[in-house]
Amino acid sequence: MSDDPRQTGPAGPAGPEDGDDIAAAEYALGLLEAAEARAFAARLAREPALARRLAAWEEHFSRLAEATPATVPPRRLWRRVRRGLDDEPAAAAPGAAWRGLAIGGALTAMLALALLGQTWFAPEPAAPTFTAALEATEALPDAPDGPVARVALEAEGALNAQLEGVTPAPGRSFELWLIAGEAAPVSLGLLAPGEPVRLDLAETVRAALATADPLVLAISDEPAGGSPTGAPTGAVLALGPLKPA
Amino acid sequence: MQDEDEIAALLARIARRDRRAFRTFYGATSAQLFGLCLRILRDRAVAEEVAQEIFVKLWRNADSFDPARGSGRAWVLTVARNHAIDRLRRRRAGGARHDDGPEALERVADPGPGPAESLVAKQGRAAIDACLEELAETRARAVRLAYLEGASYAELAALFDVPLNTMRSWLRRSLLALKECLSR
Repeated sequence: MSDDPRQTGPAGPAGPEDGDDIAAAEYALGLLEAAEARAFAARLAREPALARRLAAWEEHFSRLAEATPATVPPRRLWRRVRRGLDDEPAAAAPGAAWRGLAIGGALTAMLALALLGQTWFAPEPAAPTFTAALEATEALPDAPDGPVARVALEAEGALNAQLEGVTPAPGRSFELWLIAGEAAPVSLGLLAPGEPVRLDLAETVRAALATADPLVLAISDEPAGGSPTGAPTGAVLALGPLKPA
Repeated sequence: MQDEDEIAALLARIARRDRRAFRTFYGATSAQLFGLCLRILRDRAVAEEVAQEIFVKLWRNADSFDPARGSGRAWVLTVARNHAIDRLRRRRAGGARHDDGPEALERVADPGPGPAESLVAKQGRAAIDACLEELAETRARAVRLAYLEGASYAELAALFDVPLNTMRSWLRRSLLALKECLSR
């Protein structure tokens, strides 16, 4: 057999193991006819070795799925998903193969719901708990009237920020800071011109939000990629108090 | 997607009906899974609906994930891919509406190096990509079409203009070569 990596002909004589491997790959790709697929699925249940072959292919092929570009879904998707969870029982679960597996989970879920009520999900994850509208300082003389950035903090500890009508100069970045009480500014992350940004807040920042007063947000002008020192280095371009929503 | 162990750990908690874990899981995977649905279904509204079904399915079936068999990452992506492909095939079967026929396959058959490829490059190339590259180009394309477009043997035969049995045997040979490459 040639070692030429471009060889695409038969890779040696096909033994029974190869046959199982190919069937597993065809099953993973969805290439088997319905009857063949059913027969393969039936074998999976009683042949752990075959199940391992399938899992190995799924591991590899899933990289192709993973390589598709990620796209942030609209916020309403989470609300729809959440409603879907509350719509248990699993009788609606599509796909016969899943059904047997789903029953245990569904029973547990119903029990959990019965015990906890619906309150688990009561805090809407997207509900802003603090908001801020940042106004330009003198360092940003060309800024339009009104806020140049709007910020909303969710109960779950993420922050959404959007710049309005201002963009960093080429090679510069806008960095968002929290000034909690007397403490030094803490970087919350970089803002992107023209699109909303979602930043996850560190535990320490969330703790400060709960205890410190007053809370002020600021935007500074920084080198591309943000302040190299961890503290603001450029001009403060905008400021605004962070207030409970 | 995130660290594999992290996904597996979240799935274990979700199997115990931990809704906080599910919220975290959603945050960690929703962009990836929604992107996958969009890629497969090419329609935002349908992708949203299918993504919703996938998350509900993952919530319900997290207890069937077996960490001994593979990574949480692969399990989640496989559930999502299979569900989206099922939907795509139902749509195709139900009278190709607009862009689901074999012509659609043809159009996407040769996407060239797009964002997908650049993302892979960023993540460090997966073995499957390197091994697909060792196959003749049309053969690698056939494997990708089956996985990401849900193409059947009959559709692939029509697209590559070869008899069904020829298509079947050359794809099987390609899978054997892939297996050999992946086990190196």
